[in-house]
Parts: sequence; C-alpha cells; structure tokens
Amino acid sequence: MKTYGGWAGKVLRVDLSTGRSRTEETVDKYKDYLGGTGIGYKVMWDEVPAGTKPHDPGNKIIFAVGPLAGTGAPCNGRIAITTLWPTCAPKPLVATGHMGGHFAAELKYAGYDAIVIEGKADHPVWLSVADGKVEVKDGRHLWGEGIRRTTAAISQIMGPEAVVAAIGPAGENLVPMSNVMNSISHSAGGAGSVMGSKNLKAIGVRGTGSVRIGGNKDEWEKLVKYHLSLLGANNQHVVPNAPQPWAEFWSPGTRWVGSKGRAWGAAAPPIETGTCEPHNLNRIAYRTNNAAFYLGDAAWQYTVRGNGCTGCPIRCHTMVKMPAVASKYGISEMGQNTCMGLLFGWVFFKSFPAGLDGRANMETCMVGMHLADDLGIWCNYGQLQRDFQKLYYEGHIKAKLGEKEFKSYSWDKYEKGDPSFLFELLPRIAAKEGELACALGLGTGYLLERWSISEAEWGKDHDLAYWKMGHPKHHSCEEVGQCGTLINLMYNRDPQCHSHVNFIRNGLPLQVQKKLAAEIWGAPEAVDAIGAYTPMHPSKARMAKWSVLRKELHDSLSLCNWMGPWVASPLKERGYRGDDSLESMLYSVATGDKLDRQELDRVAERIFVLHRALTIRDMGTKEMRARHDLIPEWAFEDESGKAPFTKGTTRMDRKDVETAKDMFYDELGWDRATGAPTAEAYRKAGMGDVAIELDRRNLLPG
Amino acid sequence: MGSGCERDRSSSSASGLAGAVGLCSRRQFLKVGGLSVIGMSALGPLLARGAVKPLIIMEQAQGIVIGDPTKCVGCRRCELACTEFNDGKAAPTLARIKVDRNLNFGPKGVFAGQRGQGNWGNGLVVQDLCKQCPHPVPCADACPNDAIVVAPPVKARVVDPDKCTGCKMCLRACPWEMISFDQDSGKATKCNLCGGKPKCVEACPAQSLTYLPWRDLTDKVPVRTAPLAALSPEKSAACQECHKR
Amino acid sequence: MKLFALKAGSPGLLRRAGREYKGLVGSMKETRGTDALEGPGPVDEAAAIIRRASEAGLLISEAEIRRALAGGQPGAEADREADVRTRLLTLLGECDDLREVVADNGERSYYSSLSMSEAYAALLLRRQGDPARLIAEIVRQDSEVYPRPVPLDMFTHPPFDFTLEEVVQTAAGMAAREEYSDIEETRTSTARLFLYSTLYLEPAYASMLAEWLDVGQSNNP
Repeated sequence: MKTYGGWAGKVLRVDLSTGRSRTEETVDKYKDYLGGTGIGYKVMWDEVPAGTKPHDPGNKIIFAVGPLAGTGAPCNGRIAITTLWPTCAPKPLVATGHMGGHFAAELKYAGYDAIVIEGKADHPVWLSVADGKVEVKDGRHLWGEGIRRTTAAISQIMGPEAVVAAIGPAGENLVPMSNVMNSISHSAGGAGSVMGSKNLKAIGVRGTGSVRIGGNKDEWEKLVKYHLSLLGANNQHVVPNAPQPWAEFWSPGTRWVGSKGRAWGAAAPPIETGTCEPHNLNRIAYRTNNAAFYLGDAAWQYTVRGNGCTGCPIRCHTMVKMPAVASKYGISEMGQNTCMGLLFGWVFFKSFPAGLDGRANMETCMVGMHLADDLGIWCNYGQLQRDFQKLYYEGHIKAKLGEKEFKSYSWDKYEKGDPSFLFELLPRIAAKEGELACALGLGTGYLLERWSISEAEWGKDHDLAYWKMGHPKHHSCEEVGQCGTLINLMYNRDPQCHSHVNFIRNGLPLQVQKKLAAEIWGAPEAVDAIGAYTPMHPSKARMAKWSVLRKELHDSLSLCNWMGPWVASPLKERGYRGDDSLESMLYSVATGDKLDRQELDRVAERIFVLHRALTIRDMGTKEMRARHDLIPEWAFEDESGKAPFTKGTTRMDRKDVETAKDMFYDELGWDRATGAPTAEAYRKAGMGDVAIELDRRNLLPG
Repeated sequence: MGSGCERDRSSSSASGLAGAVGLCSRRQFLKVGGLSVIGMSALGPLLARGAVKPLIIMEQAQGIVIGDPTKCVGCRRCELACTEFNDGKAAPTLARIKVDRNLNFGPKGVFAGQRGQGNWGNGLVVQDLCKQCPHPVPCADACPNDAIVVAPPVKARVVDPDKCTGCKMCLRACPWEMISFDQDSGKATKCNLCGGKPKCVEACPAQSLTYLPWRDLTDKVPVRTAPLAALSPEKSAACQECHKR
Repeated sequence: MKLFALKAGSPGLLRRAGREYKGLVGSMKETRGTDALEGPGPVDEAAAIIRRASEAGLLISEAEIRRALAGGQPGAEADREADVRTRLLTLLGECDDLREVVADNGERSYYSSLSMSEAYAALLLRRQGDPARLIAEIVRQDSEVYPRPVPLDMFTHPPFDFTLEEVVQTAAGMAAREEYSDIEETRTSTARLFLYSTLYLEPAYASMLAEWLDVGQSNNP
C-alpha cells in the first residue's frame, strides 16, 4: 500500500448521540475526493438522505482540509465546512463555508484530515482533539458564553497553542444567520446553528505532529519559493494601487497598497511598508492592508500589523488599535478582521454624520466586530445589512413590528449613524428576541416568506445584490459578465468563488489580460472590460468552468480561493504570467502522487459534479436549468435604459444568457435542456454509482 | 514536554528567578552539577588511561538570528521553512524557531488573556530563538554523550544525530526551552543556523528576522523555565579543571 | 579565528570566553532582503549615485550627479562638466541598467532599471514639467490602456503630490485649452471627480466606470 505525504491519514468520526468516536483511513476512502469539500460532498451523498433538515440530528457537519493544509504551500490555511444549509430557501440544500485562521493546520498536526460530526448530544458539549486523544467533554459551563470567553476557557485547558472553533449565542439559539469562528477573526458563516442544533459548543484542537512532504524536500523548497515569487497582494492583485518606482502599471482598485510613506501607525514604533518591490519576498506581508483599502488612508494610523491564516504571507486581516472606542463604547481598543468581517457594523448604516470617510466609519467597524465576532452572527456577504436598510427605509420594519417592539429600538440613533445602535440590534438577533431579530436571523429567503414579501421584489432591486435562494450574488454579472453569471447559478448559497474576479481585478491593462486569457482559456474573448461586455463566447464558458473547478479544487486541497489561482503574476519579465499548474505541482510534490494539471482538474470536476448531484437529489428534480440556475431581474435591467452590449452598462441579455448556459453545460458534458449531468458525465467523472442512484430516482436527463 | 499553561511565567524577568535563571542560570547549573562531582582525583586515572575528555564547548558561535516582535505577523512560515526544508515535514512543534507558543497570548501564556501579547493581546509576537550560547553551553554541557557539538561553517551548536540517544537531557537544560525532540527519529534537534543561511530569515514575509554576527543575548532575554538537567560526573570533573571551588 | 580549546591552566583565555565577541565576524553580512546598490558593469561612483537615487524613487539630473561627485565643493563642478557627460555616456554603454531620459527643456536625467521602471521614470520626468501636460498624459494613457477614468484626487498623492488647489486649478485651466479638448470630467454619486479622455472613452462609459471604481467595487468586496 503506497503511503502518501500531505494527508494526515485519518478522518475522525464523532457521534455526539453516543459520545463515541472512531477513525477512518483518509486515503483509502477519500483519495479520489482529495479532502475539504470533496470529502464533505461524499459524506453528504453517502450518508445524509434527501429530506434531512439542517437541524435534524441526522444532518452531518464535515470539517475537512486537504493534503496541502499545514504545509508551507502559500495560502493553505482554510478549512471547508460542508452541511445542509439553514439559510438555503425554499428548501435547505448542501452548501459549504470555510474558515481561515489556524484551525486547518492544527487539525493536520493533530493527525486528522477531517472531523465528521454526527448525531446530537443530549446536553451541551465541546470536543477536545489533542493529537490522538479525542474526548467529548461537558460544555454546559460554556453554553451562553461568547466566542471569545469560550476560546479563553478552552485554551486554559488545552494550552496556548490550541486552536478553538466555537459558536456564540447565535449558533446556540439556532439562529440560521450564525457562524463558527476560530483564531479571533476567522469565521465560517452559516454553519453555527448546525453545531448549535447538535449541542456542540466548540471544537478545541491541539496537534504536536507533522505533515510529511511526500516528494523530495529540496524540490519542495524550490516549488514553494517559486510560488512565492509569483504572489501579488490580497486577491492576487498583481499591480500596485498607486504608481510605484518598480512598476510598469498601477490601478487604484487593487489591494497592493503598501508604499513609501505609508506605515503601520499603531505599531510601536511605527513600521513603514515601503515600496514592496515584487522580487523582495521578505516584504510580501507589507503589500496588503485591508483596513486601509476599505476604510481609507485614515486607517493606517490605527494599523498595528497584518494578520491571517497559517502559512500565508499575505496577511489579509488587519489588526487595528483604536483607543477612543474603549472609553466611548466600553469595548476593547483592539480589533481585527478583513472584508465583510471588518465592515460588518458599517454596512448597516445608510450614512454617517461626518460622511463616508469620517472616523465614525472605523468606530462602527470596531463596534461591529466586537459584537458580531463574539455573538457569532453571520452577515451572508452583507445581505443582512442591505436587507435591514431596505426593510427600514421602505417601512417594512415599522409595518411588521408591533408598536411596543418598534419603540424599543432607538431609530433616531440608527438614522444618525450612531454605532451604539448596534448594541441594541445585534445581541437581540443572537438571542432571537423579538420579531425583528427573529426575522433577520432567518436569512433573506425565510425572512421574505415570514413577512410576505415577494422574492421578485427583492430580485428587482439594483442595490440589494440579492441573487436567489435566500443569498446574494458574489462577483457576478456586475463585473464579470457571463462568466460571473454562470458561476452564481451553480451553488446553493453565494458561490464564494474568486477565481474569476481575482483575475479581472488584478490591475493589468485589458490587452495584457486578454493575452493571458488567450493562453489560459483559449481566446482573448474570454475577458471583457467591465461595462463593455461582448456576446457569449466558448472561451467564457471555459473560464467559468475553470473558475468553479479551481474553487472546488482549492476548497479540497486547502488553498485559498481568495488568493488563487495564480495565473497572473507581478513579474514583467514573465509577461505578467503566473502559472496555471501550481496546484498540480504542489499536490504532486506534497503527496508524492504525481498528477498533472489536467488530471487534477478532472478530480476537481468530480467534486464539482458531485455537488450538482447532491443538489439534484435533494431538490428532487433534474430541472436545474429551469428551477435552480436562476438569475434575478435586476441583472437584465439598466437603470438608465442602456441596451446590453453597449458601453457603460453591465446589463445582461436574456438570449445571450441562455446561450451562455448552453455553452457552459456543453463544456461540462451536461444535458442542455435540464442543465443536469448525464449518466455519461457521471461515469466520466468516476461516479457511475451516483448515476445509478439518480437513475433510480428518475433524476437523469434524457 | 508541553509549554504547559499551568506554569505561570509572570515571575520571569531579565534578572531572573534569583539564583536559578538569567545570567546565573548557566553558572548555577554548573554549581548544581559540581555538587555531584566525583573529584579530580577520580577523573585522573581515567584520563591517564587515554579516555576521551568530555567536550566542553568554549568557542563562540559566529552568527545568531534575532527577531523583531513588532514586525512578526504570526504567519509561522519560519516554523514551516525550518522543518519542511530541513526535515521534509511541516512540524511547528519540531521547529527550532518557536513562534506558535507565543502566538496567541505571548510568553506569559494563556492566563495573560487579552492583557498580554500575541493575537489576543497587543499583537506583539515574540519569536523564541536559540541564543547559540557562549560558554557554558547548557544543552551541550548537559548531554551525557557529547552529542551537541560546534559545527562549521558558523560554529552553531548542533545536535549530532549519530551520538544522540534521545535522553532529552538537553531539553531540560535549556533555560529558554529551545531544544526540540523529533518523535519520528527519537532524537533531539536544535537550531544550526542552516549552515549560515538561516531558512527562517529567508522565509519571513515581514522581514522580522535578521541574521547577525553573534552577540551574547543570554542575559537579555527572559528565560522560560528553570533548567532541570544534571551534569554527568565526567563533565562536572572537567568543569572543575577551570572553575576550582 | 582563534579556537578556544580546553586547556588546563589557561584561565586567561577562559575568562575572555564569556564576553561578547565583537569584531570577530567582520566578514558577516546581514541577511536582509536584496542589496540593489551593486549592479552590472564596472564599479563607478556615478553609477552608484544613480542607483541610490532610483532606490529612493527619484530621477537624478546630470547637474545633481556633478554636484554629488564634486562633493559639494563650489567651483569644482564647472570644470568637470564635460568629464561628467563623457563619463555618463560611457556608463550608459557599459551598464545595462542605467538609462537616460530627456525633458522638454533638454535637461537629462538618469535612473537605474534595477529599481525603476520606464513608466515611472517617464512619469517623474513629466512631473517636473507642466502639470497640465502631466495630467493629460496620465488621463489619456489610463483611458486607453486599462481602460479607466482617473480620480482627480489621485494627483494629490505620491508621486504626484500636488495640493488639491493646484490640481483643481490646473484642471480648470485645461478646460479652456484646445490641446486638452478631449479631457472631460465626470462626477460619481459621492461627488468625487474623475477625468477621462474622449479619445478613448465615451461619456456614458466613463461615467459608469467612475461610479464602479468609486462605489461599485466597495459594494462588491
């Protein structure tokens, strides 16, 4: 039996109903699915029948990483979480989330590639995984505590190196809009209440073991350094944000913000980021400052340093120190997060007294992080906040709440942009206290149902970002035309796919992007300039397929899809080319199982097709095209009436979108009429058994 | 030997736990060792018969890695480079630069909570690094098999795996708990400065590590523990040659 | 380097053993990133001066090189003018990385491609001249190449470093001039001003792009 590097070797099964745990051999059972979402989908397919609901004891929640997690491969710090999704409407389906931080690596060092949580404990528990010692421990004293105190309490038992993934009161109270978090700021939205439904408060992991590199260690060192040499800044933006001496190009939209004169102002003493020339691999961590990127230059003075996942040099989280908020709001002066986590509090408000660039922005972010990251509330990529604004300003909240409840909120504070309003709102969401809190906590899909608002109304709004099935778009047609649209059809929540947008926003001029696109996806027509879309083209279908396959690949290998793939680089001497084979090279050397790019992409396709099979099975229909792969009305409209394919609009054309679906399904070998994989497609993906099962249920096309 | 949250390190300081750590640590260590000495007379016949004299390292190292905690971004690529590129496996517990144990709460450990250092405190991440101690070298002196030697090209103190028996005496001797133990090989291992091109320094994406000409940091960096190792009688006798009581 | 072998009866040596040993390791180099002061070609002070300036993100003029070589001694410069020019010409031939750029007024400046790109050097050169010409060139280039409009406030940041008044005045002045008739402005919903060139971008497109850059991208984090 060949032994591989990379994988830790064991999948841990914990049955909370019995309190017993056992292990399986990862490679024997799951090698063809790699890890991460691959293992997640396989377990859900094999073991969780259609019709199971997210909070049923029969639902399972799979925390899984891949062979690269815990190694020195850049950007490998994420763990995928697969389960039935509580916010997926009108019927919960399988979806995935991820969390960064140190949990993924620690799990590998403890000797596990995955933890499958089954059943339901009859009282609150927490799971302790210390190398080979697995214990289901009494969690009653932790139940009701915030995520931070839970982490402290478990760390006191397991040691300072332990990594704790915990839910807050929101997850405990089965609020669908809840998350699980580790390492202070790293959250996996949507999974919190599933843990809560199983009475699982937290998982603490301590691992003193190792991840073996299957191949030659010198080759591995060269490969890792090669990968590092191709890195840009966060989201693999390969061009700096402003003109830099070393750079040929620049782009105000990129996250490469480090430059001379900009410093981590709250470090003691401050540390200048400098020009971050791309060949200097010792300064990769200074390129990105997402607090400054999102909140403006004012954030530099509050920046202590970057932070993030194990092994990642990018540091997309920013640690900020704002002494003023401590006395003003009674919260910690320290805060850290990135992206929506950072903006959680801010996005609730329509305006601030000092304008959008005022210092109030940062204070609101601090208050938001303080509350949300302890209560464990999920934002659903900002949909919670956008819904809240619309519901308030269009009178829905006033109409739906009784007078007493409506008066119990300080709406004057909300309208004024006073962050202290969040102290009234967020704890109540976590506690399901009152009609407003309960409705918001359901997620958009079930909120609309509860308040008798038509989904169509949400789908018409251009600013709401709503897409379908209770979730928002995530990098769709507003930026990446047909490719973005296709990606957003495929999933049962927002797709969390960045393969495409990382490329489009990398800052390179259009002609350079087109040149690279031709090499990667077959033709320069694969990419359009934003707002200057052209009709559908087969290369766009290839790009869309590549995007979702690489997302699943990253989620299964453990690579960060917010950074990869790495098909562009900041290096002029390479023509700004990255390397499309990085994933397969890393996989091959880490495990010792040599697969080239196409071979590994076929494994990714298997994982992606299995997700499709799960969706079909659990929806009980093969009519994906008609009933699942849906596009909201706003995508087909332009507020100033411009026609599709004219410059200045991102409006999609209905016929063209149908062509896009045709080409995309063709590219995957799926049936055009239904959008469902054919029996042949399943067999080619090595899942003949799936085809048989679906055939039995009459869910195969043709 | 875990870092043990149950140990409270709040009393550690540059001046040390009186008499047991800091500048005194290595001398105190010798005193303790010297108490069990057999005596020069006992060693004499051994030497006269041509027995090999115990190795007492006298040479200075030529290089040292230092860390700037204000720049450490807690990515742990140093630990990964140290072990992957040297041992062919990613093993932070084995790493000879130690960051993980200070990452969350700082050197004072978990009870520092949000008032300490690290990710949960003020953000500072202290990188624990081998001081490449000058004489007396605690780990080398504690080794009953003279398995810790001075190695070219930069005179780092290095575990010779051919001589190491895995007794772990060196782990207990280091006041900064810098020696690692490789479960797979059953041997101790420590920082060897990667032959003069330290991989951790090369790997750090925040330029928080620097490789410098050696300087004595043994009285500048607070210790983590009271060393618990004992000198072998042969080593104690050798010490007596210079440090007469 | 001396070896401190254990010798019975040599207390002097041993007393020194515990001290910090400075000066022993003069040949040691700090390992800290890249050292760009060295480059291809013969070691030459003028070359080093140019490379240091580029490292700092600056062009350096022939006059400044002369001053630096003269070591700040007045009068020494004029004598060496011809020497310096010859020297620079030679260096340009011998050193792959050293480049020359010429401003409209004929003034020559130098940079090293080891740490400065041609684009940046051109930008700096333009920065030395007419602000209107600089703004127009950047706006036209961005409108054509990326394509995108340019936020006016970008010119208040490095390496442009104009004041807001200067930028606003310059832009206002450009509106009246024939040679800048293609430079137009558009305002986003946050009232932020962008400039674009009608040679490459239609007004509706430029306006949409400006709104995307200013507001849309932040709404799609």
